Amino acid sequence: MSENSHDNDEVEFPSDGRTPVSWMSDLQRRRRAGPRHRAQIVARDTWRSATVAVQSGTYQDPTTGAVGSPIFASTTFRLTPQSYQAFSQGVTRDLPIYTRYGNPSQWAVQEKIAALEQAESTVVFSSGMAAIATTLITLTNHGGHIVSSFDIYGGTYNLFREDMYQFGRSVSFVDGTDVEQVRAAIRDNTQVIYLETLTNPLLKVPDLPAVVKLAREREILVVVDNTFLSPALLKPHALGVDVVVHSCTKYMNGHSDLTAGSASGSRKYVDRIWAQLLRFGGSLDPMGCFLLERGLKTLPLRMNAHSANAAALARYLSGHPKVRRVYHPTLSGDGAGWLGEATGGRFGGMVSFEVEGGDAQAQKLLDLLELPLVATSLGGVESLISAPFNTTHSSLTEPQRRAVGINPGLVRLSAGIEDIDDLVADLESGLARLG
Amino acid sequence: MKNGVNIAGVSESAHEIRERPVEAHHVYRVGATWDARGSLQARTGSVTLGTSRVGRDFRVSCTPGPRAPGPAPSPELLTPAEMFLVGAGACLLTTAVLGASSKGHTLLSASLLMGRAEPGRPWAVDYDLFVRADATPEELIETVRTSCERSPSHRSLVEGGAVSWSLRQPPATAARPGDIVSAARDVAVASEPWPFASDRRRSAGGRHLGVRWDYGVQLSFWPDSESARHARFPVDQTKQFGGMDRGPNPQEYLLCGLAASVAETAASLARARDISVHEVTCLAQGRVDLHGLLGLNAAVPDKIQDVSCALSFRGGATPEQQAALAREAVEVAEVSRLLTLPQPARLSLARDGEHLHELVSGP
Repeated sequence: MSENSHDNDEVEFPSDGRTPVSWMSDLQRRRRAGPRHRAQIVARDTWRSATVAVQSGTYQDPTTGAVGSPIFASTTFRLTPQSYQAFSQGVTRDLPIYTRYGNPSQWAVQEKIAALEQAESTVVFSSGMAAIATTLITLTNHGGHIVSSFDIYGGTYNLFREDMYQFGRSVSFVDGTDVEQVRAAIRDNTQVIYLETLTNPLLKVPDLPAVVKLAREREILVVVDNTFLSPALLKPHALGVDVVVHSCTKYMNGHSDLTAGSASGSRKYVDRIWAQLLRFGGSLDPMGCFLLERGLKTLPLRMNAHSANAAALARYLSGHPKVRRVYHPTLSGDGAGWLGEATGGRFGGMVSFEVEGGDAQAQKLLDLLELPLVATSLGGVESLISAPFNTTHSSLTEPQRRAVGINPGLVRLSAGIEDIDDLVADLESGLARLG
Repeated sequence: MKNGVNIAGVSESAHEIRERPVEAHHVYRVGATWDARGSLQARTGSVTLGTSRVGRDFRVSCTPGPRAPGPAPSPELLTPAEMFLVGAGACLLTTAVLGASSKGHTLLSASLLMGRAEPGRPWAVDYDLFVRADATPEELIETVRTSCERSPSHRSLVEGGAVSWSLRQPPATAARPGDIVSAARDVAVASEPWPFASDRRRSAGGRHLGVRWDYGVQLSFWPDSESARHARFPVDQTKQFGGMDRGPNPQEYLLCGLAASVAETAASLARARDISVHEVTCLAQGRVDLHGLLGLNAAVPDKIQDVSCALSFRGGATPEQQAALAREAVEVAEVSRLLTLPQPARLSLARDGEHLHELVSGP
């Protein structure tokens, strides 16, 4: 037990300063899940997702008995001999020292996400792009190579296209759903395969188990963006994925009132990502951590509701004469294969469809709808709708949009958790007035 | 951090290897190409660190030896044998820094002067190690003694070992249409004068070399000659191994020296036999098992293992001629002989300018 009341008894040091160290093999510290404080709730192995979402990570304030985690609105923390030892031995991630390094509010939400992801560790960021950029710079070196998909989220694509080569990384884009294309793009210096578990906006499903197998054979790390599914539906670490990133702005928080991101994985990789975060910035403030932790408590409930609504909307739209095509995994004919099995047939709240008449008709439909708010982003409790051609994919040329399958008239709908009958009635009304 | 070394990271790696021995295997890959213009360039390739791969893209120009076809040796560049020796000495110094830091010693400075021993000496390589630290003489001697036993590249020098060879097809370009490709970078040679007090020229086969510890596992080295004493070369580890990716690491320098030596030797042999060869490339590879360096398993060899050279030729050599050139080049190349035949090495340790101890490693 430490002498100072706010020391962290969970910390293990390489050396206690008393026992002689004759060589590196005598050092004591090994990687453990966390960082954790003794006041936090740690999920039991037997807990199911809904219990984990509510309970895991909560900081149980020993002074007041508050049932929720306090917001530790402090940028810095009193230094103790343990803190100095942490500096000298390189374990500053495990102690509250300075909020960019770590804050109990961050630890609370990080523990919850890690437990949901079945990962050893998580680090939270001030945005999804901060998480993605920091993770990929961390896991690659100057001279390294990344294989990704040409239809990934536009912000990530721009990071690859405009910035990565300036950092000395090269990138190859392939059809991420075709494992043979992924295989063909691998080089001697390939370090990371980066994919989305469900693509945006066409909801294509990569063969993740096959990609992971391939990556293992070639000593390559697999990083996936699991934003569209969330750990309530898919836990990519269970498939062998090394690092999972999220835009927590979307389903993880779920209320369209926070910008945040996360990266989860083994302590080995997440510690490295954390060290890069220290230099890049992008840490999440304590208030943001509180919002995210609160939002996560209802994640499994919300994902069930989002999934049911999106599947019902897909069914409705696929039978409508003014809709040319609907994109949703439930319509794939094979139940979306491995993904359907892994998620129990639930695929989150996204559904995309092509309106007869092209982009002008799509835009007109958006203007006619009442319930889905016309806005970019997704994953909130309220339904949102937008057209990729003038939002998420507006930076692409027309041939590029065609190449990734974004045809005229495409609309992306993020189904909220409103009553499905109201959502269908609103779409029915809008489509009827399209003319 | 102690002396810039992430002790927690070292500790965690040691425990990880205990639990997952496969993570102990670090495989280094380099290539060197000699071409008909007399250019001799080495380049680092990817590294496998346990179960993951790391991109490395350093390019080091070398000066061909006096018998190699092409222009006269350039004093501004390193010879293959110098790169090999830098690899051995820098590894020894890095190991000593890691060991001292793990023990909690504060280093103020550490540098190593090295060269080939003068004729008549019972050892082949001379090291002079100068240290300023808060450790006692006994602690320093013990640290250096253990470093001499565990440093992978140094052990390769003093123990010797086999180098296998093979032929391969000349590589095709790897980039595909639409790829966003980054270029290789030359090792950043800085202009900084020779920083060592000693300038004794007792190196018989080539120049004296000086290696200085800078921070953590980062080192700098200088060749000691009038025209090149301002050239500071970086030695660094991958960021995954506690470095900052500033330059090749000791094993990569050692293997670059081997690959360059074999490539230029193959070219020399071809010229001597009037075989038309425009380009020779040698890919060299070697594996380090960290059980040795970290002191986790005394039964595991500390030296670089599974050293291999794969040669490819452009020009008019028949497959039979190529095979003969490759086999013979690996047998007779200067660095190949340094690596295969055990080389006794003497190390003189001084603390705060005072001689402390002398160690001789090898046969």
